[in-house]
Amino acid sequence: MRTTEDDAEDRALLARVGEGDRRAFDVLYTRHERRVYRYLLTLIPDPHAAEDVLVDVMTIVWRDAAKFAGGSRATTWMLGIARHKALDLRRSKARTARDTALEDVEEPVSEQEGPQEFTHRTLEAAEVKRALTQLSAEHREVLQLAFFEELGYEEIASLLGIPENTVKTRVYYAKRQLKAHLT
Amino acid sequence: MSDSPSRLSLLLPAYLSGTLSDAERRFVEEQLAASAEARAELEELRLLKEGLRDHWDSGPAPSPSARARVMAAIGAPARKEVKPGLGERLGSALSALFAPKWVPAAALAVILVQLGLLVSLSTLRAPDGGGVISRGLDDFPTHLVLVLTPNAKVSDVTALLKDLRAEIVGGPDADGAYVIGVRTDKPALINEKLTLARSRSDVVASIDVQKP
Repeated sequence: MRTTEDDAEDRALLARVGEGDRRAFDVLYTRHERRVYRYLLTLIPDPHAAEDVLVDVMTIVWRDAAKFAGGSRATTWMLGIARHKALDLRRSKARTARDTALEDVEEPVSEQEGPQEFTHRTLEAAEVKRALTQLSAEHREVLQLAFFEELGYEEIASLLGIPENTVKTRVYYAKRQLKAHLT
Repeated sequence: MSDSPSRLSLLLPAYLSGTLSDAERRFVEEQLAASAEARAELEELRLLKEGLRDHWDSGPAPSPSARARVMAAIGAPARKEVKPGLGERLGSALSALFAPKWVPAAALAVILVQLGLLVSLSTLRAPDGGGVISRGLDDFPTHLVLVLTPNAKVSDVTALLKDLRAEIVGGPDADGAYVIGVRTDKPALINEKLTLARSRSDVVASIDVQKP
């Protein structure tokens, strides 16, 4: 989990970036490049397109660092820019039936297995990857934000622009879907 | 089983991440203490989370060209200068003293300049105000082995250490390698520091986690 200390460092770096400090931007870029790219890949499966968006996002971070108001963690601010740019890209492309807008998705419900079926297993990377690909983009996204980025529900709600209770249920149903695809 | 998630089920993910309020955390812990089923649900969630973390931890990184494109896009304003301090002055003095016309053995000059670098850097305060570097008092959870380029400047090394939030704790050894300490044992943060250091190819010849 990114700690308060990590966020304080990020904020200090953003302040320096806002003053045009390129070295601070180097550091900030290194600290967040993979995090932002990983998040983008959840929203945009094409790695080349995701990398193009990463370049846009980090350029915006450089340009707008001075505008960072500090109302959220710096990480959340950057992921918010990434999400906005990813949605722009998705909207600009023709949508297929499976390529539903992230904000329009109903919560799917799947069969639930008993918890004891998992407790003595080791999850293999390949099966996790396969199971994740079968989830909707918004379920992958919320799992990543909750379980990997370890953002709080309130932060996720702010990032996604949805109520906090919706975040809670979305995480719950995403976990159930994942589990269903793993068993 | 009902499709409506229980309050406990909704809170467990955030409990694992440590992002619950005190009241919510107390509620979860009471449930865990009282219910084997709740503990099994937590264990299941923990397993899922570990699997997901492993998956995303091993995910692909963007290509190096992404960084180059970003840097090109933002232009190249001048880097802020590090104000010369005692270390800078000592380093300069040693560099001048062992200029090539006086010392034909370039390798010896590198070692001596880097030795001067260590002496000068050891007089600087830690980047985060942790006090004067003391090579005998080392409470860093992680050590990195750093080899500087022959032309590394004191100001650049000082800036690098500041950016890494690191301090020199040992060296140089016979190969010119320093040991630097960082105040984290998290693999992701250590990797960030290694990536950052390796991007400073004008200063860093090599850097790796010190093997036990």
